Amino acid sequence: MSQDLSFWRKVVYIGVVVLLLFPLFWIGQPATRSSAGGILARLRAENNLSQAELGEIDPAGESMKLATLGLRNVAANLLWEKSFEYKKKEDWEGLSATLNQITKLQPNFITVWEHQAHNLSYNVSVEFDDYRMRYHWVKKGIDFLGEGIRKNRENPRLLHNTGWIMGQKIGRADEHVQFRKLFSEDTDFHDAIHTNGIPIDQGYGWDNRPDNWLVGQLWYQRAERAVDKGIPLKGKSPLIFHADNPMSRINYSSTIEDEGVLGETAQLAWSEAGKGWTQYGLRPIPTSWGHNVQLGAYAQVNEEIERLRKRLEQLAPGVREEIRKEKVAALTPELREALDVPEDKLTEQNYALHMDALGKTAVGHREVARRAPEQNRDAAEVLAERLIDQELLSSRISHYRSIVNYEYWDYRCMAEQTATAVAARELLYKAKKAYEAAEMGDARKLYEASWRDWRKIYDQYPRLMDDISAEELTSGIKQYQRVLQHLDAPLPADFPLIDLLQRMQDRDEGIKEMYRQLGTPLQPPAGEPAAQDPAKQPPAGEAKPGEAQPPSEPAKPAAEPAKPAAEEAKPAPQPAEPAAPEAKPTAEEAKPAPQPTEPAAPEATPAAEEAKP
Amino acid sequence: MELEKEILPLVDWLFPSLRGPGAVVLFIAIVAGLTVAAVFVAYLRAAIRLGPGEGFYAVAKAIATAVSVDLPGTSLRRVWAMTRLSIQESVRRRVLIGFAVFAVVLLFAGWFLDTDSDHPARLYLSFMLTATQFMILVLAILLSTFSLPADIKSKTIYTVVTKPVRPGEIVLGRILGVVLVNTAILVLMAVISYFFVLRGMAHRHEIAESDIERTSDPEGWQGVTSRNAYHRHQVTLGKDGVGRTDFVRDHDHAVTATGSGSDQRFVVGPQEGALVARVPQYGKLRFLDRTGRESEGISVGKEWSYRKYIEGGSLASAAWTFSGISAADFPDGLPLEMNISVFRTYKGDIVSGILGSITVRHPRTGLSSERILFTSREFTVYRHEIPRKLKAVEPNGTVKDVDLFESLVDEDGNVEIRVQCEERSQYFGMAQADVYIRGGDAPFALNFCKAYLGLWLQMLIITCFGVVLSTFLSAPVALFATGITLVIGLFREFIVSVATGEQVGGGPLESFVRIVTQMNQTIELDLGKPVEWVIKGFDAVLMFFMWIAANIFPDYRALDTSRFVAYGFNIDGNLLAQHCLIALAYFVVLSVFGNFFLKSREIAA
Repeated sequence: MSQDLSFWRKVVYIGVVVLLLFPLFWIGQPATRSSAGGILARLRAENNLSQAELGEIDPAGESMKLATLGLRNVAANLLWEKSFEYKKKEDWEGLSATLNQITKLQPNFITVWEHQAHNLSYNVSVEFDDYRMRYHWVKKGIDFLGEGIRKNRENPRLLHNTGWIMGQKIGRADEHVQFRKLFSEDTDFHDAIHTNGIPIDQGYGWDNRPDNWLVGQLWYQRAERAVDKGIPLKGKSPLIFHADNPMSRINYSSTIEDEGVLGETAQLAWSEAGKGWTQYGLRPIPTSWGHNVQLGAYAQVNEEIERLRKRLEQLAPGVREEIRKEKVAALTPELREALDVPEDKLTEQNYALHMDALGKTAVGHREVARRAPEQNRDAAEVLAERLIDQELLSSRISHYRSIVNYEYWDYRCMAEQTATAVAARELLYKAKKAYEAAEMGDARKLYEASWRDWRKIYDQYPRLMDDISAEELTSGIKQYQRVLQHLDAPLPADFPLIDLLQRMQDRDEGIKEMYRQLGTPLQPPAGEPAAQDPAKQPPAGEAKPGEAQPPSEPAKPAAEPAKPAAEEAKPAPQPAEPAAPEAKPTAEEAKPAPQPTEPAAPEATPAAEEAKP
Repeated sequence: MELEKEILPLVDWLFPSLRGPGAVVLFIAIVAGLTVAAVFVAYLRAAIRLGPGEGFYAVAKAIATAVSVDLPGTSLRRVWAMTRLSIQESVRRRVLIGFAVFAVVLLFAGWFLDTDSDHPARLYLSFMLTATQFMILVLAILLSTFSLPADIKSKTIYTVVTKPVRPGEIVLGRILGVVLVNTAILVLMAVISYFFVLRGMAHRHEIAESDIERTSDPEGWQGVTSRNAYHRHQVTLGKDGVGRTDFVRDHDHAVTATGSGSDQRFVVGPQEGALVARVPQYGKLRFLDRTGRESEGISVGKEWSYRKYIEGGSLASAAWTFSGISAADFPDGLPLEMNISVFRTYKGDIVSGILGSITVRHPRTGLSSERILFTSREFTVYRHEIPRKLKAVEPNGTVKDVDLFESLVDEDGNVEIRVQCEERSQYFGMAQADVYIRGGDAPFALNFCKAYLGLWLQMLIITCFGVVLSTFLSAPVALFATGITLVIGLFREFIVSVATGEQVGGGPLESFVRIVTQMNQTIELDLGKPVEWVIKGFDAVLMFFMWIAANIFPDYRALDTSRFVAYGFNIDGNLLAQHCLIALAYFVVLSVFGNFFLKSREIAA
């Protein structure tokens, strides 16, 4: 009996196994030349998920995956732990080898490539004291990404990241002067880049050698081509993604000027940069609102708004003012009083009331259209809707433009191409050289000539004053102040950039105040000219000879001009860089201030925009 | 190479000294504890089966027989017979398949090795030794755990036990048989690995005519080699046409110019220096603070506190006292090798590196040499020859010429070497093993063999465990249990850190609760006092057993000396002797336990 039972049980098991083979075949049948295969094979093909679609197949990775017997994730976890241990114990070879093993197990996990490339290029490289070794590890990060690109066919994020490290890390690190030189002479690396599919001869700079910014731009362009081909750009804002390509050329132009390459070469570089920026303005950028915007179309949209507004006024003459008056009349006396406060008289107390009153008396286009004469009302209402749409578009473009500082870079590219800017830069560069050579008299003359040119530029492009170009001048102005101190001369009363200096000092004061409030007051770095209020400073003629310097002002060491570079590099008392090598790079690696940041919750803005008058 | 644990002289390690209680004492204590526990368990088992009186008698008899009859009566001939049997069985089990797997791994090693590594020798050697380690240990586990249970299951064991052979001889025979088979395989693996590494490291460079040019000051040639094996070298030749390349990827090449005029060629020799076995002579390190007083060195906030730092531009220094230094050993001066870490508190001069100095000082008179300046380089070993003839500064400030061994080394052969950082607000970091005198090189092949001896010792221990556990467990269970001893041995450090509460997040149960409830490791459990008491109480018991297990089972990582070979350091004789003694201790203790286990099993059968 029991033998019978056992026999039948076996028959049932075999039957079930055979039955299950059918759905298994249906689901898992592999694709062949003549058939598309089972459900899984078809799904893989539809979503481009087969290994061959994702990128180059790595036999080592595949065999490692097999060898882990389905415990790939556990193995990867253990390797991550091991990599942390190696990093802690500063065993960089072990770390590098472990990272390779992780990527063999998870070759299509993009974040691993990104994270670990950053780790090598930024965190590990700074652990070395020798800048040549640092450069070597920056390259290791780039090579690592190259491997990732091969395994993940044309992944835009990896391509973009490669451009980023090549441009920003090599071009902005503390050692950027040395890095850029090493890069331009590293023929073996150039060959490797060329082998990776980058036409390096298109990334040559003014000296006919590869320039890191321009080669970085080639990577960005390749990333853009991948996106244009339809490869999705996941987890990265298209606005920023596309901005880095033209920014590379801007950074190149700015860098060569810092390095003393001026005149026509610089002018040409800026002209190319300007073209790139304009091109960027014409590119339709996908937004989170579901439509594209063109940053360069801002003026055009505003003109259209102006035209529509005038037309609406024609269709409903005087209505807007009429409604406004009614709204003002309906305000409480308190609000009415707040409404009339001029902007420069606004205080913390009356600001909220003023804004409230403004909100309550704002007149919407729809309101105007509704009150238009009857024969025009339909047309006015259609017009009002169009106007609202255009205003919304304008505000969105404006928002996006502000994120990448579009207008500023637009002006900057224009301004830098002018003969005045070229002359101003040349003078500034020569002045710095004279300062470094301790020729104070010459330095002063050159600086002052340069300031006059800068004044003309700022008068022509006042928008530049708000931003980084002015920032770049600050070190020059500080050096100029030192020159004056050395010559025992006061700041001239007609100093052309007095407004810029004032702004600089206000900002410095603001920073100092912030640190004071945080309870960690800043110590003035040695050799730094003490902040002087230009308004309070006596003009040249009024300076009293022999007047005692304020005690806070550092005594001018006679030898100071001989080593100005070292002096400028003087650290804050508690330097953070070596103490936190793990931390994401700070100043050196952060994007430059005017560069874009991720749009802050753009979804939240439309409602606010609509509420606007 | 970092040495987190100082290598003690064998005598200091064996017997109680200032540096610890001594291995002998620990061994006796552990064996005594284990014996008491084993006797107690055996008595309990016997008492349950035979009653308290009979049980006591049975246990006492077994021990007495073992000591008075079995031990003196053990015959080497019979042991050898059992060994041969074991070897035949192993061969019959197609043990060579393991070797075939090893060969396959080697064939495809290139896939897994980063050929673009900065230290290829290190990578090749680590890979080879690790691969061998895992192969041989797995093979040892499989062979040792399956042989006895298979015999018992197939009852072929009766053909053996019916002969006049003692259980102890069976156990010893099995262990030796498996060990011999594995030794043969290990030797084969070692030979193949050696040639694999040599082949992997071998490469040639050439110098094209266009890549080298004549120099006038100094007279000779300068140029670069071709790029092979992912690197190229700078070449400098003297006017005699002989020179060397620079040191890249831990090696350099000799270069010679042949011919003249248009027939002139430059021949680059094979790589040198990648496969070495430096014999370091370590000193005793102490730190002096910025005022020159004894200190413990500064922590700069790094997570790994292996290195301590000294402040630059002050009296702070790191002082190594080396002993046993004589002119006979170092007739030309002291070849000092250093690996100093740098910590900058400000950027400073990026190009030049941080300046440091070395001073040689008489340990008692305090007579010091003038400073010998050097520029720091990190994560690489660099060499400084301290010459015989030095200038020393007397306390009154006068400078005189002195001989290193006559004036700065004391009569006991002690000399102090001080390292200082010369730049203000910059720091140098160092540990004891970071500065040493290179007392020549040992043959690389010999060092390689020593590393394989380390693997052999590991294999011996795991075989002992496998055979002994298989005397009373079925094959799969014995396999699993032996595997666990290996895992415990490989992760000993982590287990000890959990057992001692060093690891944040509590013991096993607490960690499990935290994982399940997704609770951060650092916050309080907050589950109510009674629940917490239960969890922590349970953990305390578990942690106690973990601690015991971690201390009883062998620390395989500590026995692994492959790092020395990979980093190019000679494996110290003291260390090797310690490892041999540890393995011997396991062999003896486990053989004795195996004897009793098999005996009790025989009785049961």
